[in-house]
Amino acid sequence: MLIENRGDVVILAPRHRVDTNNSPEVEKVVFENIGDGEGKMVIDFSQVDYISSAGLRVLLKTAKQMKKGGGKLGLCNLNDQIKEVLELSGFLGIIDCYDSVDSCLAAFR
Amino acid sequence: MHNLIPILIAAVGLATLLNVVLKKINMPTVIGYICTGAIIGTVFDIHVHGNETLEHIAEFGVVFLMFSIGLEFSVSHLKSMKKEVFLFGLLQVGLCAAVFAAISHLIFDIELKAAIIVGFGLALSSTAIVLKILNETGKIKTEVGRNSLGILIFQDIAVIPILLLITIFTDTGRSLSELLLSTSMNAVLALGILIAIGKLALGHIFKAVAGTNSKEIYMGSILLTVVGASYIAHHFGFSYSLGGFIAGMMIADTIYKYQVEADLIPFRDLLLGVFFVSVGLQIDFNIVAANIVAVIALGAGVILVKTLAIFCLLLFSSSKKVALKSAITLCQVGEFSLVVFSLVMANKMMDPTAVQILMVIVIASMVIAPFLINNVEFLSGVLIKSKIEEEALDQSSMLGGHVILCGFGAFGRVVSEQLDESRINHVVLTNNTESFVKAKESHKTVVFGEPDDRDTLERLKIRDAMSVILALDDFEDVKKASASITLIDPKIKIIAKIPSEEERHELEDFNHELLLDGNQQTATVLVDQINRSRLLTKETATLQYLDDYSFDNPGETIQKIEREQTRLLDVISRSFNGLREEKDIMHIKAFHDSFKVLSEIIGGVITELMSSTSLSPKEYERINILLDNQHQLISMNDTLEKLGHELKAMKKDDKTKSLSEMTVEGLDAILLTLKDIAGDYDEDDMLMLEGITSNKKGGLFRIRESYLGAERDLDASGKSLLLSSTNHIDRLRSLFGQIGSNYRRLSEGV
Repeated sequence: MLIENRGDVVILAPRHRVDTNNSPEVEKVVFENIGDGEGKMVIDFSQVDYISSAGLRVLLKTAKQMKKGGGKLGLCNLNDQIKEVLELSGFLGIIDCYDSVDSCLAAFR
Repeated sequence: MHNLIPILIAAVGLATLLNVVLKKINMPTVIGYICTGAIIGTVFDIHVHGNETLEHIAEFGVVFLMFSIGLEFSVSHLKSMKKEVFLFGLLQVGLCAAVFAAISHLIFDIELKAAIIVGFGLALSSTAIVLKILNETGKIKTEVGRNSLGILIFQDIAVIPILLLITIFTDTGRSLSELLLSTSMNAVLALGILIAIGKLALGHIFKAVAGTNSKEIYMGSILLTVVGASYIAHHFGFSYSLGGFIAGMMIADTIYKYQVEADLIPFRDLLLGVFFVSVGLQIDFNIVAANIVAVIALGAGVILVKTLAIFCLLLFSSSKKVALKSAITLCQVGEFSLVVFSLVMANKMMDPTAVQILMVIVIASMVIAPFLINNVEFLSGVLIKSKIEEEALDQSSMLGGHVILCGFGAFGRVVSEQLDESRINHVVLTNNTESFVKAKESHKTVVFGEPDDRDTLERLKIRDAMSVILALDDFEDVKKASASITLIDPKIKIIAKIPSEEERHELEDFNHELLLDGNQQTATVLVDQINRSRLLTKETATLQYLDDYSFDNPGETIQKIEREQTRLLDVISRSFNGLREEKDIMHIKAFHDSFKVLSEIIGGVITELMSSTSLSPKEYERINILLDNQHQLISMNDTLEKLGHELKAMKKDDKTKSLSEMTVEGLDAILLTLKDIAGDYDEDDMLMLEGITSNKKGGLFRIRESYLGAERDLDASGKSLLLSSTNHIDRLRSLFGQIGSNYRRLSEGV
């Protein structure tokens, strides 16, 4: 997973799939980077083509932590399939999604 | 007599109207028929007494009922119920008659002989009402059902000596010994003739009739048997219905039992309707109005005394609760009592007004009976507080159900052997005499009947069955049986043997789990699958917390209910995994079945606890939340079952395949959050759940918009599938949210 810092924003870019097999690892990296959830984080899905319920759980835990800490979370570059699963699961009601990393960063400002 | 046609139109119209209303409020049709009789009788000034045609038609309703009861009673079955029939029956009739006779003689100053007859008359219960309801609700096989059935059969037999007693008390021309001798001789003659015909001729007659393959000849022969046997019994001085009962018993020993039963039901129900209308016709509103206080007081007294007497005598052999339920079931006075009291009046043994009051009491008790029987669980729960785990666990005996194997040809026999090896309970259904004999010789549980006959399939409890296997040689029969099963319940899983792949598409409209060619290897695979599914059901539905609880400590029991209820979410979660891993439908059905068993047990404990008076207001509130959760969970399981079918269908189409897979992942993620909340409540998790289930952003509008648009090019059935599935997803999300809110209330220490 690629990790990039732009100012006070952490950008994470997982790859291929976020499923039962690698979600513990994704969760570990995410939580290492959000601390108490007071910061800002962008998860870039441009290289992800599939997310399972285990992956969605990681997103939910992240959103919960950020909400608690007063931080900001944004997802971007979602393919149609991932947009669909976020809509089906109702996650679009609690997590903001953007077309690109830049538009997400702009919204954070 | 009045012009019959307007009366018939009015009666049928009124009965239909009343019964539609009663069915809507879940009440038995018996009440509708009786009310119809009462209203028609008053409006058209008709009375059943003295109208022999009407009396006979009405009586044949009971004859057909007794015949169908007789069908359940082969001689061997009667032997196995000798305790219920001859011990409980004798004690019940004896005890109740003695109590009522003593009260009539000592308190109401009725002359001793008349008091004895009144005692016997009031001791009888209503076979027609009780057995109709027990049959309809399937409770006939329970301990309460067996007790009631046994006692009712004895009562029906006891009618003969009671009628004889009236003759003895009033016939001054003949001595007692003469009367007893002639009755005994008549009994021996009537039974001898009926049994001889049954044993020697009936089997051959039905074999010849079945060979004609004509439904109307078959029906004719059944009618001839019933009416003929009733006539013979009546000719020798016994009731028509006893003849019907014996005819039923004779057929019970033949292979035609189930087919006869299935063909008979429409006749029986129609004639029973006429019978109940005739009961209503006997209500004389003038007498009711003039003696309303006496009718109410005496009616209540009779019901109370009878309940108490039956309860006390059954306590020696059954638990308190079963004894009470049986007593409430039998506490009314029955149709044969009307016959007894009519004779008392005809023989001038009592004041006619007093007899009329007695008859009104009988009818009133018959009107009340369905209410009491339908609410017997509630009433017994209120009166007796007890642990119900035995009852609840009894229900778990339905775990995994049974298999109905239609056809016993070469493939059917292999499947049956494999099922036996895996110790899977199954019943063979065949319409082939040769196959029937083969199955009998192999000691199989076998029923002779048509695999496409819905009544026969219902009698084999097809809704509770784990699976139905159509191992029929003729493909037309497979189609017919599939259609009948789908009409009974489209959710029933069918496994069918097909001659070749070409026929596969002809069965696409039905809910087939597997379509197989007919070789031995597929039989092994099939049975293996059923077996795994059964083991899975048993494993998941085993109680973990409510296996031991007590109503003495309601707080702890409520906690156990909470924990056991959380397991329902686990079961649902496992069925999600089944969907994701593309397990076969039977694997997923195993979880739905486990869910049903577990939720029934939990629901039973909640209901029992609700009726406990020792709960604090706070505990009532908690139980109320758990009850609401229970309803939401059941609704969730049902919705998921439907959605599972839709997703499976959507997966077959490339255009909706991905959506189907994503739905499982998306919903599973919400369910996992809900499970966290249920297991260990956390307000932050709850806020997340609220956020994702609130539908603030328009539900699945965008998905519908995208898939229903022209570019996706879905056909009509694809569009309908998409609409239906997204509605179910919306429903599930809303249920997840509602259950989460209930857990919040529980965590707040309500």
